[in-house]
Amino acid sequence: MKTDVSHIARLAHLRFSEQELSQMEKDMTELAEMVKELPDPQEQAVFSEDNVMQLREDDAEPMSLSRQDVLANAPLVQSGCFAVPKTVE
Amino acid sequence: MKLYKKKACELSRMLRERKISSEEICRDILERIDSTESSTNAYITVCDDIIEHAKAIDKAVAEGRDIHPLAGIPIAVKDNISTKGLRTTCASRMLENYVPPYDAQVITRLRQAGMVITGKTNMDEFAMGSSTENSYFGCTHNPYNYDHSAGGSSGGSAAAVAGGEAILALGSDTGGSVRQPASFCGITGLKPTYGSVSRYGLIAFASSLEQVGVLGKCAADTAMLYSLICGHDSKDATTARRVYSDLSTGSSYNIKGMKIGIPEEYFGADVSEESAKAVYESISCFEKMGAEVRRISLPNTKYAVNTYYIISSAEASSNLARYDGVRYGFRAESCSSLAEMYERTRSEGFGSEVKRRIMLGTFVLSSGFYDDYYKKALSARNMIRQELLDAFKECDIIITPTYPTPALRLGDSAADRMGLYNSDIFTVPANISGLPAMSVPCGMSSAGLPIGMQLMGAPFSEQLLFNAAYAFECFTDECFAGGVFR
Amino acid sequence: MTEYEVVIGLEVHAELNTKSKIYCSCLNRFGLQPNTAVCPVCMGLPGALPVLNKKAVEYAARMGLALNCRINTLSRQDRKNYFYPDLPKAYQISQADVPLCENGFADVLVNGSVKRIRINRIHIEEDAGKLLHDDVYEGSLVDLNRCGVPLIEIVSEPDMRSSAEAKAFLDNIKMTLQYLCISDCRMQEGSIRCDVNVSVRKKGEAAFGTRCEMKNVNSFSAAVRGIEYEANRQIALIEAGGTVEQETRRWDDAKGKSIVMRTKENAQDYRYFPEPDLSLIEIEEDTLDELKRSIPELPTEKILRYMNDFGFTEIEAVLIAEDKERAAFLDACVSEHGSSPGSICNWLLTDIAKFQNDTGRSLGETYLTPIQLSELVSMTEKGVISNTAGKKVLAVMLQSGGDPEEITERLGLRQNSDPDSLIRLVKEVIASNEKPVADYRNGKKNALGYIVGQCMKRSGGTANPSMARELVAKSLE
Repeated sequence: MKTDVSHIARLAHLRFSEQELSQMEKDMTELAEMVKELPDPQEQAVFSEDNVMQLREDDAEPMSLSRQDVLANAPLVQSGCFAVPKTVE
Repeated sequence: MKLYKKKACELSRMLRERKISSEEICRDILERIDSTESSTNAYITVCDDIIEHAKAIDKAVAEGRDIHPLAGIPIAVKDNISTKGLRTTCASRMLENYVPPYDAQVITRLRQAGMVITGKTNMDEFAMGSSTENSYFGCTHNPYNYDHSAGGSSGGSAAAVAGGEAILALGSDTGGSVRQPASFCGITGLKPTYGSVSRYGLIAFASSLEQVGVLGKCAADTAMLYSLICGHDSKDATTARRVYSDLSTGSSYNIKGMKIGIPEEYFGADVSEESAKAVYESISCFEKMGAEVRRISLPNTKYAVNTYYIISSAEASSNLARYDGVRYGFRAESCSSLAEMYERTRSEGFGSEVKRRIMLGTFVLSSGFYDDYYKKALSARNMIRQELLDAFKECDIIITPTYPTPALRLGDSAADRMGLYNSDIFTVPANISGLPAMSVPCGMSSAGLPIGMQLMGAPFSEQLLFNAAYAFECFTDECFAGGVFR
Repeated sequence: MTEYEVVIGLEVHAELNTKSKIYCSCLNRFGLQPNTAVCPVCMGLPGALPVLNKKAVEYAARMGLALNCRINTLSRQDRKNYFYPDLPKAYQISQADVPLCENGFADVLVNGSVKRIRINRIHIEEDAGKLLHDDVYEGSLVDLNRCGVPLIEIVSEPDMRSSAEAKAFLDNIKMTLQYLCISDCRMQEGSIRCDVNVSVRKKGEAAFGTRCEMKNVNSFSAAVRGIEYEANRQIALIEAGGTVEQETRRWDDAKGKSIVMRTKENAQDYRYFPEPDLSLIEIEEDTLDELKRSIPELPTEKILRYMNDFGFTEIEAVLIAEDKERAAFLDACVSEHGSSPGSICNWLLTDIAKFQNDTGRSLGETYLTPIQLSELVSMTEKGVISNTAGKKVLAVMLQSGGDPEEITERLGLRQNSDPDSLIRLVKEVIASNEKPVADYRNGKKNALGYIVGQCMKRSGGTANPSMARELVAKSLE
């Protein structure tokens, strides 16, 4: 399958020059070669029981971060919120 | 003797015997940082409250309070571990000014023990690389020879310990990022068993592969630090619920009867003559100490690097998606739309290697490729892991070179990208399989650069690794360990 | 003209009313000041890790059991990757390949008969934050409080054939959530939302048509309007010789139409993969048994029981059953205190419902208890008080509480059935109402009612009405 590097860049929200894109394409081709070297997938148990996690009890804790902490690293703050350019979908 | 040349275990004893103070240690360290930092560039940030913390510990000692053996010992922390109120950059423009409002679980442990954090160390951006050249803050130089790399991605941590700019250090190891710089800098570095140390607060690159690791001048130092940070954490669902014995004092030099596996696949043509020789000579030391050496074969090792790159890139593409300029970190200026903000923020904020891996990871997870790439890699991962687990039914530990060569010359590594990746072949299997692995100094090249060997064990067999490393140090009279001051 | 059949599948998202969020200990509460219930985990700070809330899993499993699903004793969580300012990690932790619950069904009542809608799956996931807008800033404002609120997504099979069936399904899901006490179901707060999949095909055709997914459906009535609009749009398209394209559309309820959000070509690629920060979710057999035992009688069973055993009409049965408190109240009156279901139903749906309506109180927020209502009903049935007096007593009970006997005594409302005093009362009334009495005697028989009414009035409503009527008639013979 041919890879559409521009499509991948759009998914990742990254911008590249033409030259960078062609380098990426080479890298992906190389990756495709790497994958070919891997053995075919073996039938395997999807799950092993020893990989089960402990769940958290439903206890609410008092606020660990104040609003000031929450917003302290934000590039742009407005009305106690993170401000971003207008969203349109 | 300057205190920065000493090991943590020595300083700990001297502190408790009140022969020295933490303040004296820290002043020595600060002096050393002043004199060598411009040559090594081991740190991104040096703390300005070091003496203050040291004094607090000295006060506690003076009051006769019970203190942790590591209290008052200066420790450097890799800059991808969250420190509350202390800038944590991941060596990226993206997080150049990011100050976490919380401590990583391992940092909480250090603070509770009264360790003195000296600063945040340089690394490859988001831990992607093995030379510390992919840093927004410039590369780190090897204290043995400034023209050489300190390795990576925890190059700053390794250089700091080896060069006397810290006594101990925390790093992180996703594919060898603690062990390889430890071997380049002539010190001891452990990547613990997956799930034995909390990742809470470790800024994620590849979640299923990485662990916080420890670096020190010798086995005893790393054992002490590992004992402090290991254990179950209710904030990290991937930590194991088990009881850990205190390894800080328990290392034994008696390794008689220990079964050591030597996998032929790890001594191939790629390994430099000097490195192979140093490791083989070390193995004969173990034999002389009464260990039983057996040749083994691990054919699936050849899949390790490819598997590693697929899985780590996939996870990275998702883990690094959160850097979008909304809540923290860099945001590109004057963007007129949301799409533009995302794209320019990420394109301007990330370095080229990070972007490359995000692209590869996005690609392998994308519709139509997932089964052929990601699923195939997961299957290979299981095969590699199973083969190693089977090997540990026959041997207690496995010894290999940590890296095919001693420290590379700066600039050399960037030239040969895929070649460099293949050099990770000895370290990535432990990450893929979740096993503990340690790099121990075992020789010197003719050019005066350190050589390290890797000890690998079954899950949660850190004690065995420390024993073996300690025994080797005793047998060789510590002639390799300790950084540039040996 | 060709007849078309509409095919509908629904995806319902419901917020669970756990105390804390799904992956962190932040408060799960609506209506707080923006960004005040946020921690490193739910705001996606670098290095923070999720830890799954046990209650969220149990709630989801109970919903699965209520909808007859198979519960996977081992299930997994996956990352759904996409960028949006309300999604801090740029991925949502959800479940893809192995959800918690699979292959169930809901039996829902449509026009008196039961229709079975199959459930494909129910999985758990985290909610996203909210985007706000104000007058000062031209862009969007991000409030992360809602990030990490636990959600279940209930995905039906395309088994519904009309907007009425879809509405019945949604009502059933809402009632079930309420019966299980696992969601607040406050539509205006967005605690239940749905996506609607609609396709049409010519009647009798076996294959499904191309479907469109409609998002932004914020109420059940909007779902009905959206489905009808979309079905008509697709039919018109086909009739005009066109073909339906697979696309995602946004429903604009105010304008009453849907618009294209995404076509098939630029469909999202979510790049699902197993969440490496979390291991497997296990539900042990014991826990599952316990959860099974916690499932109460479900809405459809209840409605059918009311209709079949109690003789309620479908409307009555639904009106009682759709309010969990009301249904529990009725059940308590009937099974614990032996009241007749019909009387209780009558009281609940008239005077009590009116009081609730006027005051905006739920049944639990009034002072009324099942034992007291049962007593009151029994007093009216035994003739201790009249129906009219009963209403007065009830009003007091609702407003300030108290024992009906005691209130009756206090207000002097006990029904008077003493013949001597009633004879005196009737004499007085006849004496003071000459005209109606004369009318009656002149053949206007309906004047009798007026005279009895006057007796009731003069007695303050306490006179036994049938005895009074009898005595008046006798006196005027």
